[in-house]
Amino acid sequence: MIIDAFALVGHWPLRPLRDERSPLRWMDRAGIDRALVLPLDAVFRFDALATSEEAVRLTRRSGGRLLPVYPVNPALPGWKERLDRAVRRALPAALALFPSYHLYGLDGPWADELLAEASRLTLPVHLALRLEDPRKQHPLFRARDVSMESALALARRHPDTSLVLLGASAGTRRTARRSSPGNVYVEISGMETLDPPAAAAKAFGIERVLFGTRGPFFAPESARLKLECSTLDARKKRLILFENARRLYRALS
Amino acid sequence: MLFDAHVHIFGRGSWEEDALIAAASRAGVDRIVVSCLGLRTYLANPGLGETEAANRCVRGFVRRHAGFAWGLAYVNPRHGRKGLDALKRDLDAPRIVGVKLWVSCLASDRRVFPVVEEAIARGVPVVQHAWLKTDGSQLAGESTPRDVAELARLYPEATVLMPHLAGNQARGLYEIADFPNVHLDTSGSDPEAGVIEEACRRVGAGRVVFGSDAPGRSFASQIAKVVGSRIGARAKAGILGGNLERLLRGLL
Repeated sequence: MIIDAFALVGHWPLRPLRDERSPLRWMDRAGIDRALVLPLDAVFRFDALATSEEAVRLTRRSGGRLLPVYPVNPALPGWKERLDRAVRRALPAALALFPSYHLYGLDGPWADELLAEASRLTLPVHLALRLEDPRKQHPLFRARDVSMESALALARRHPDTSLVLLGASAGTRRTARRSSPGNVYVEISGMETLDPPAAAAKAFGIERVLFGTRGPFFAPESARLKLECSTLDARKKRLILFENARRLYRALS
Repeated sequence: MLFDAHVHIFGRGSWEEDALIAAASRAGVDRIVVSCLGLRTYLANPGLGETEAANRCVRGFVRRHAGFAWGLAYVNPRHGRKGLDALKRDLDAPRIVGVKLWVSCLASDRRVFPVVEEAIARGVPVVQHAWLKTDGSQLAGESTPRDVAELARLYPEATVLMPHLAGNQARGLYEIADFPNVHLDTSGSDPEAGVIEEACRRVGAGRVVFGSDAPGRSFASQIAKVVGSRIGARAKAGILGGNLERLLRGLL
């Protein structure tokens, strides 16, 4: 069983993506059973939540294999009411924040308000630290990385909300090793060096590492092969492949 | 055959050599080509003594791992005649199969030309780093694919290997497509989907070789870029090892 905590659906105008209408094809090719899908279009829309409607339609046609993640822009007035309506229509697996693309900092009030609301809804929050390598971004469409320090500070302010860091890389692991609170999770799509899953487990704790592909941005086979080639034992690999996700996302049970 | 064209090593005692060998083995890598850009860290503009020390490190590594590893000689073209003499000695050593150029000067810089001429005379490839950065972090002497294309134009008889396929982006493919003496390695950058397919479309699968950029990058992640690509089995096999074997024929 493999559960992908970081799958994307939708359009990216800066380069063509395979299977952009549905992730099921690339999931099947990569042997992934279920995935939490995040609408990419949310990056380009200030009303990010509006993009969740298509994601919900997609997940309803997936036979339970896909679960929606609702992107929210908490800097937009009225977001709470809209989120409340969306959640009543269909419960998501998690909420998501793209602060670099919606132009707010984590030290302002908005991210705090969203995490407080997520706590009330008992939903985890996915925080996009990075979608693209900054060295390769289109010069007219730039988004700075969200710092690990600010992400961890946010997590500490909201110990009752699980915060899943999307796009953490080697540099961010070094920071995390020093002071990662117990409500922080990380997915492995952006992790490199010789044994990325083992390094993530060392930095964050094995029970807080999730399998993530960032497909179809990234080749989903990358996350699988990282795990297959890891020195972690079979039990720890299972935790990353699906057990940690099952424990974290009530929508999976 | 899984043959990795792009692996970095460091001075003994300053990194985990055993961890690299073990990781390569777990990932099924059969052969690697290594370079050392500095004993402890990458040196953008190394002194002559520093390149000599780095290349001694490579010679020791390939000797310890004979049959698994081959090496490149790192050269700083700014060293002129002395650097060229040192390069000649390095290339005389066993299992040193090419020249590594990094960021001390652009590929199109005249100081590079004697190095390339020496490589041509010996029939060894020149591995010329290039990266196309959009965030202002391009180093002063860091070549872009356009610089590599200029070098290839001036020296059509040279075999040039331009690393970092994804880092050079689609534009990089257009820049070098018309120069059949330029080959690409897949090393570095994130495991973006679609990159391998585009390279095969633009320049042909026969000009693409697998590279990882380990240990900074994961062998597994970088292999997956090729394995997960939607190209034919023969093209994949070529990229994963056959093409590099052909490029280094007679040198291994």
